[in-house]
Amino acid sequence: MARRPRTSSRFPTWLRLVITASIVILGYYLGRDRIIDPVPQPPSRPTRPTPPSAPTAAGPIYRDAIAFGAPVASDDRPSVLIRRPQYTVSYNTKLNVANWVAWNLNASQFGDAPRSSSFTTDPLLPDGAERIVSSDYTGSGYDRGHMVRSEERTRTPAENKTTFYLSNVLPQTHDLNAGPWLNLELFCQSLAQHENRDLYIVAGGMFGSRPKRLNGKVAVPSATWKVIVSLPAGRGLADVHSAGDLRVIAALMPNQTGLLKRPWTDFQTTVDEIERQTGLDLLPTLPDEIERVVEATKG
Amino acid sequence: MTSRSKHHDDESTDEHKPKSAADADPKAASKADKPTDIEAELTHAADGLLYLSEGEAPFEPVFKPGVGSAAMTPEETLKALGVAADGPVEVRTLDRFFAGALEDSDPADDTIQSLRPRFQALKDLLLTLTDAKAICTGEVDKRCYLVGRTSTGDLAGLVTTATET
Repeated sequence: MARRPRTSSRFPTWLRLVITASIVILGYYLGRDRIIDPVPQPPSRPTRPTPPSAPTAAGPIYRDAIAFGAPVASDDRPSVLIRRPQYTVSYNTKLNVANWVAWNLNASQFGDAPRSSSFTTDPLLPDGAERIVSSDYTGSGYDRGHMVRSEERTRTPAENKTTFYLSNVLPQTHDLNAGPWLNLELFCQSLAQHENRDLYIVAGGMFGSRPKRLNGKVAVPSATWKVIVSLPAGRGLADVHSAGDLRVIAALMPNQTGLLKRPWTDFQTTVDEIERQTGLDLLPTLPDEIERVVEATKG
Repeated sequence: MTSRSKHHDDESTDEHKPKSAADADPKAASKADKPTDIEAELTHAADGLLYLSEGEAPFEPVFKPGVGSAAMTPEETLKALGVAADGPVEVRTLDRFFAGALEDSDPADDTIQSLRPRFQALKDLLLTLTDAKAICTGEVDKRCYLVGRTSTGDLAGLVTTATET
């Protein structure tokens, strides 16, 4: 092999060393890991379509639970926001239950992990908040009613356990919990798994001024409600350009007995009606002209 | 968890009630037989305890004499107890069945923590039975039979309800 002639450098050795070191240091800083909030923040403006949400071996895909906006209360009710990838809770430290729970649902989040075996205190409750425990429900005659359903977080036992935090639970009659509320949950599962939809769900309870309390602590809602934004898998707020781009389903169910065999559709209503009864502004990031249409319509 | 009376004003519904003859009277299978030591022990160990799920339910004894010493499938076990499977049949270990009252119990829940020794004793007693396991049947209000065979060839255990929506 012919030897290449050596070329003389125009730069002194010390300068070449400084330039080389600078390049190495710059490369390190540009390439190192960044600390990322595990919960994605909602975009202030629609940016780009999100990737499809097909089930993956890697794990569940959790899109931003409040991509359509965190509900805004018309009063000064206590609200501590607890965010985790699986769902977001606005926790009311006077009622000792959620004002609302928001989450994304898609096919990637279903698996075969076993159900958690116990309801437990939410470890992310702020200091000073009353610690609600499963025993507070015992003997009340009310079920521990999930907002995010256990089945909806079944890729791993750890995912499932988050649904058993009592911040994700409201007292529901057994007839409501096992009746139309469950039927609506099954409908959501069917949309996610069989119709390949991404759902953005928010749910909560409706409370009078002096609600009944379990064990003197846990407020019992007079009704529970759920609002579902349904989009083709992988689509989000950025893809909503007209009312025809999304389906919005709302239901408001009384927390009573005698409902067990009633279909959820008996309780279908409009978002406007839920807003009127709860004092919450729902889906606030929807463009106003679209929000007006979908919130006045039974989807 | 020990039982307390319900103070819910609304009337209850029939759908939450047991569906099979054995469910309606879990001791139906044993009415013709005198209570055995294990039955009495199980009844005493479970007295006042509640199984917590989305709802809560007491434990009631079940007993079927003379099933023999051969291993039984879950379906054979339910049949021997006179129970018609109401939906899918699922088998759980007793470790898993009682985890919520034992290993996975909420450290912040003083009531549950105070009952751990009783649940541990109940599980230990059930584990003295051969091939003891929980056999659950149903869709939402699952009837769970915690049963095994005695050394004299009887089927003994408890039944309770797990509400899982």
